[in-house]
Amino acid sequence: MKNIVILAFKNLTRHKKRTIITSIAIAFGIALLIWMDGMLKWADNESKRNLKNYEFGNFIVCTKEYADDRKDFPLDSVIEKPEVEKVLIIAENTGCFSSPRTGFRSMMSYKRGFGLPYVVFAIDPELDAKVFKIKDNIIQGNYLDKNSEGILISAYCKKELGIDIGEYIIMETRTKYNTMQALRLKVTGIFDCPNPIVNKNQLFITRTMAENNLQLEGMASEIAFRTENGDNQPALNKVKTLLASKKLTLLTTQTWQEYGSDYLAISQTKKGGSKIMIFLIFVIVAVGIINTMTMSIFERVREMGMLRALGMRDNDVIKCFIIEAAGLGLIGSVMGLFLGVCLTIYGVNVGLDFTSSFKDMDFGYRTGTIFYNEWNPGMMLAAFIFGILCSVLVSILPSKKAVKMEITDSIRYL
Amino acid sequence: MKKQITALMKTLTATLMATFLISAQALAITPEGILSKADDNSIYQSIKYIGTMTINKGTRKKPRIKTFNAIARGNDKAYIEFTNPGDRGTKYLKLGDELWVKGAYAERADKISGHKLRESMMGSDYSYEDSMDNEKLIDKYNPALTGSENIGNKECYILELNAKVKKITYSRLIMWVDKEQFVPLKIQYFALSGMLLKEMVVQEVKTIKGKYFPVKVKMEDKQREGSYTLFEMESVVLDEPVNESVFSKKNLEK
Repeated sequence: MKNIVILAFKNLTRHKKRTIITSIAIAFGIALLIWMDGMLKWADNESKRNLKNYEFGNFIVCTKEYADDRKDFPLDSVIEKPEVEKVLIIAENTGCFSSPRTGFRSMMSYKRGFGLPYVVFAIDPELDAKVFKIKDNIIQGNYLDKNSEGILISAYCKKELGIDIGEYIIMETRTKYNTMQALRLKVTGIFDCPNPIVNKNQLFITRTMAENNLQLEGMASEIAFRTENGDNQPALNKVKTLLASKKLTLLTTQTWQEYGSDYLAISQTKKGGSKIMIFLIFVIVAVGIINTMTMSIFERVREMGMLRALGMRDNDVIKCFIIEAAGLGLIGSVMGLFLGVCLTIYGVNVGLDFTSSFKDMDFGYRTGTIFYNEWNPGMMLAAFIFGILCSVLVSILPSKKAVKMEITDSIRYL
Repeated sequence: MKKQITALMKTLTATLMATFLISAQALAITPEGILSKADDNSIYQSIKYIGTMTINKGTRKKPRIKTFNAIARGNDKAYIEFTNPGDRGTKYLKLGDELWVKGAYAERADKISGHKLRESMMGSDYSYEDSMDNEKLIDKYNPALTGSENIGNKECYILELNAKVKKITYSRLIMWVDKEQFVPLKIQYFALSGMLLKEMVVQEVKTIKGKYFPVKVKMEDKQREGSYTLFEMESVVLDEPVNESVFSKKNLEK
């Protein structure tokens, strides 16, 4: 056996070019597998983070009707002022950060140009910054302060309307009593956050501003909660108990998972899709390995014939070739792992910028257009083992086929 | 001679009385009275007409033309079926506060609710709410007579209407009402902030069943440059009985 192993390794070093080319093919497949998996994993996790950090918080408290119709942002099924105050106290008692928000649909226009629909959220800037991360993504001007009479718009809105900081935007909307309202608001800040839903659809004004102009009378359409450790359940249970004990039975809670159920369902489908993608990459890698290994074995049928003519047993010949294939797989997998790690390091720190290629295209993920990577040691190990196993498995059949030939035919084989 | 004097006296008395009555009537004109008369011209029990909307959107070179058949009863029920090539078969049904729409190729009707009711109807400068409103203004606004002005060659009262109910689409209107026919020839619609949003100008009025009824109206969006909709009505039939089955979902989904 020792001699067979030595012979296999000698073969590897003897056919340097072939060894390198075959290993590179395996390495390329393995690296691609590691890189793609890391990117898809990042996109999935980043989408969930962005949903919580920019769109929803960990959970919200709202009326039951509002929970059913949240996509329409109705102003007639909201939490009235006394209940808002009670819920804010509940948030304090449960150690959560909370932010009352009132969302409403508006048509925004600039210089009597075309109007674009947006959802405007009336927020308390100080409280909102503790729940959401919009404040950390201001790229021009300032975040709102409590008495600000301006509006915070997204970089997307700036581009679409052709408006800039310090200029005035017209917001047409309805008040709580369905009365038409139009306000001329100064753009005081521009944000660019990694959640495309928020970037493309949402703008922000202060609650004070909304109170004075939209007949809101202290109401809020939802109160967003953020738990300190990021875990929903313990805080959610406490909030539910306190809501019941304070007889706030008309109010309900909705978690980010419930709100994002559509997205999460798509995400699950995407995971399935990602698995298919990974599987296809596996297949491509496997076909590559099969191809190079088969060629490498059939190229050496004469050599096998010679070994058999010199008295080497068929099984030993097969073993020798399998060990050689395992060696090739090992070299390819090590190289692939190294390349995959390098690509992942680049992906984690720099990322791939798809901005120019996909501009306003909807990826279906709640991420920006720069795609990063996430470490996935499990997949790295799996890819490494797969590289070796695949090489071994695909070398068995052609080796067996080659040794079935007559020695004389093998020697004459072209 | 005596007879002649008596006749002259009678004529003078009659003239004086007529002058007095006319002056008294003129003096008795109140903003509420003007608005009520304007309402009488605009409000109908039922209506049936063939409508055309010519939609101009500033940046668009070609105006879009939508034609439709409309039937309505009171303020609760209305049925519209579009007939222009691009929208043929699209139908709307208003039942109370509900509005249903069925696309040309859709199998079932969808309910339009909430914010969608406030959106533009078929891309025009009318919202669904605007286009289906048939309520008396006197019930919703407090009018004030602020002056008079000519619209074209017609002398008009200028009425300022401020909402007297909380739940209302426009908090303030300014209305130019024809002094002779009591038809609102121009209406400006304001936001709660006082910003002018829309302006409606009547371009043609027809006498139908004793009513002076506007049949050609231009609605201009004052916040969008060059955006206006010309709304024309033909073959208008007012206050005739309407078959109830028209206002059914079954008819909509037919």
